[in-house]
Amino acid sequence: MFNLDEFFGYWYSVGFWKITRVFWYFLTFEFVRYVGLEFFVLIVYRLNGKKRARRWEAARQALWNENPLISIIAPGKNEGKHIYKLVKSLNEQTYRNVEIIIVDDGSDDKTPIIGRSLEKAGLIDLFIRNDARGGKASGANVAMRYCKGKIVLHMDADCSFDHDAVENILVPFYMDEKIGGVGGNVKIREADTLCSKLQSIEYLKTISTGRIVTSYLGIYRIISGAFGAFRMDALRQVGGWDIGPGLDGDITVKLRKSGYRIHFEPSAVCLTTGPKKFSVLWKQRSRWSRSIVRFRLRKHRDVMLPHQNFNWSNYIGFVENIFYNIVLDFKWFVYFFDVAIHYSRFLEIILPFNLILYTITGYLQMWAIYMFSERKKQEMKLLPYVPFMIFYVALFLRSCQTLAYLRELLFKTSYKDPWNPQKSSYQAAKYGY
Amino acid sequence: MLQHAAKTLSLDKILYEEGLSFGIVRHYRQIQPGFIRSVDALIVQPASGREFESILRELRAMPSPEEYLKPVFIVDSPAMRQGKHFDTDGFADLEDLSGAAEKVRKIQSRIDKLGSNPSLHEGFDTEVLLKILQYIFTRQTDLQPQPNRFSNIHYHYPFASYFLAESEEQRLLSIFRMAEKKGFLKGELVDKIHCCPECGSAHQNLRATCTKCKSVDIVEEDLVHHFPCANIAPVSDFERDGHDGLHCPKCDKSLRHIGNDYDKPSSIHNCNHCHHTFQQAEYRSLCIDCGGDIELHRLEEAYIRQYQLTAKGNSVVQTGAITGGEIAGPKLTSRNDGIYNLDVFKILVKQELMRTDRPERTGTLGQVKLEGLSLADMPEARQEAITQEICQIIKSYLKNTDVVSTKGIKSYYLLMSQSTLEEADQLKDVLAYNLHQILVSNLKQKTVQVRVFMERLARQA
Ligand SMILES: [Zn+2]
Ligand SMILES: [Zn+2]
Ligand SMILES: [Zn+2]
Repeated sequence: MFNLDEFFGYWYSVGFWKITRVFWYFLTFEFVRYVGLEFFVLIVYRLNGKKRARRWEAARQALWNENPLISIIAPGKNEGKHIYKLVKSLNEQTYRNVEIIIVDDGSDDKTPIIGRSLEKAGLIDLFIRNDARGGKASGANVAMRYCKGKIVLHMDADCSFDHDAVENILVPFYMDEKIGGVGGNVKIREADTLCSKLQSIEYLKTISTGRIVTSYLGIYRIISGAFGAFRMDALRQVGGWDIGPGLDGDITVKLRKSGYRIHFEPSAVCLTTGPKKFSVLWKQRSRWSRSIVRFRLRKHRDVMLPHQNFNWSNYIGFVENIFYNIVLDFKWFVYFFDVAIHYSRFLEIILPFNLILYTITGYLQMWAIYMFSERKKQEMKLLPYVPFMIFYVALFLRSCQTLAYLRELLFKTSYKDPWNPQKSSYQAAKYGY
Repeated sequence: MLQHAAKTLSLDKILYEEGLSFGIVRHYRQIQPGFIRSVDALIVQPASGREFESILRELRAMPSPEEYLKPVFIVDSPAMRQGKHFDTDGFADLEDLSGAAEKVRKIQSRIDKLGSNPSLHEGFDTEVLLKILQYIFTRQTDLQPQPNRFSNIHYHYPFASYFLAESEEQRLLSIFRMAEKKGFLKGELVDKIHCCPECGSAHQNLRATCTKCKSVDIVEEDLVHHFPCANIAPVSDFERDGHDGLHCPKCDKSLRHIGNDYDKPSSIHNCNHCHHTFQQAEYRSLCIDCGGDIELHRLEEAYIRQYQLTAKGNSVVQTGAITGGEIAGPKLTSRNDGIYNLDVFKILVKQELMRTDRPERTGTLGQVKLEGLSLADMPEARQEAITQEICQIIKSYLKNTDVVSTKGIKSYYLLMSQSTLEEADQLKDVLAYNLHQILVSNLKQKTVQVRVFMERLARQA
């Protein structure tokens, strides 16, 4: 059925230009952006390592000299079962001058009892319970209202942290006073479902190395809600979080628009539990995709228009984001039909070749990840799963995203998402947020 | 001196009606055996309420039934009107004593039916109880507690309360409990009171305090959630000087309609003393009598009941056969609910097993072990008290239907019939941590280790 000689013979005979014609999609977009650019930046980043280490040490000293109070906030619904572990994980941190504020956004389980008893025991500083659910943004905002710290750490209750994660996410604020927000390095906790393993690889690519690159280029655009730090004055200046399908991108854009820099800190490592089932993952990713449309194309489209606060790096970040997420997503279908129509006879040869190209790229990226990882051994175990990534990315994620983009573009589905309470979504839609 | 006093007092008036003599009493020093025995009833005309009480105390403390059960009347006057007649056999009209005379006859006939007083020195409590039973019997009425702001337990029992100092009325309640347990009295709940664990007083001032510094100087504010912009802040953030209505500081819009564009999801407290912020104030009680600042859960609940004589009580009074024993401090409180001794606990576990011997059952069995307690110089009674207290602390983390038992200070058992193992596991850390905190800080048990085990309720357990 599949003949290897024939396979390579074919490619040998067609010649360079023909190959370029057939794989234009991979070569022009994926290869240039995710291999060419990324490797270039990572190599530069690596070469600057010593200089960066000196700046880092100076900033770390400045942090310890000041030893400011840091407010840790974790809003959420039905997260009670995680709170004790979270608090324990925070007690192990090298940086200890923190206050912990937990917001219970209308939980219907034992969260209020657990939260109150931890508050009583002095393990958390403030437990705010809202009987009526208000949505994630309102939870974060009420916590922010009562923060006394100079920097706010926003985290998900089901996260755990490397022992120096809090310290490391704070240091960048002392490296550059224009930094208004720092994103932590979110990784997927070791798990044994295929779904988790593929997400682990994905996170390593898009977060752990992908964000070093975007941060370095000044176009880093999403501080993960799971682990992100914000300067309190900056946060208050932009009015905290707004309601939306995802909060992370929005707050980052608002900070950028106000002139703050956003930094990604790979050494501030946080572990989270990704969805273990594809069905749950589908829902999560649909929400994220909808948020790109809603925030980038609608709410913050002014970033792409000329106005007095216009900023090139914001512009490029936005365009890059929209281009690589939304435009390319649809272009991929163009590519698919292009090949299917013009080269339909050769599909059985073209598709495996694509598979090979993407897998090789995947391993190249894994090598880049390996260079920067602090858990090399653990992450090596993911190598056998790299070939599955093309199916995961090209089939699963792409269908999920495309569908979500279309539905949000055409029907504004994010305003109906039960992730936010209806009362808030209705009002947000009315005012066009 | 004494002679002189007796002489003056014997000059006091005696009124006669239908062959019965009524001695007028104005001062407690008139309460002398000779005088009391010489009259059929007393009419008390004290100068003050205090004097009235002193007279009754003297009288009720006398040794023989015909003295302490003597019918007592008062003359209707403003000073005597504040519920004092409950302590007597009613008002007497000095012009016409016929009504009073009838009452005296009835009481006397009942007194005649009393069995001989067993001069057993059964102890104070038994003695008081017998007197109370006799009183109820001779007056043919219920013993009805009256609200009283001078009483330590907020209630005054006619006749009965005069045997104890106002600060010792707790003891009266334990006497009643004993009588109920033995079947002499039947009680009907009137009220519940909350008493200081230190001094027993029910004079408590409850108030919300700061969870950090215990100050009462705290203010509560509503939280307002503005839906369109997701801003949540205390209502004062939304108020502007000189403007009515609420205005959102984040998005600069007016709030229009509660439930529509904003709501008030909860409230929050601020302490003016230490500036701590918290949602749930801690309710604490100030004991008016001893000044203690008490956590609410430490207040001891006690029941105030009104009592009537049972058939058994009736016969005891008429035969005079009452036996003491078992009086030593029966528990006043109902706080022991859900805490059982180990044998009962085992039975409950067995029952639970039979009830839930199905694959989908949800019961969980737990154990709490305290290791490294230093008990060297702790008296046994204290250990027992601490054990009970730990049981109660454990119980406070469980559902109402859960039960707790103990095998001594180091080991506790939990039966959570409606919790799955997962639910129970969630409790483990919190329980262990909080118990540890309490033992370390309150009992200075520096080396103690708290271990909590949970397992599914199953046959082999
Ligand atoms: Zn607003
Ligand atoms: Zn205070
Ligand atoms: Zn007291």
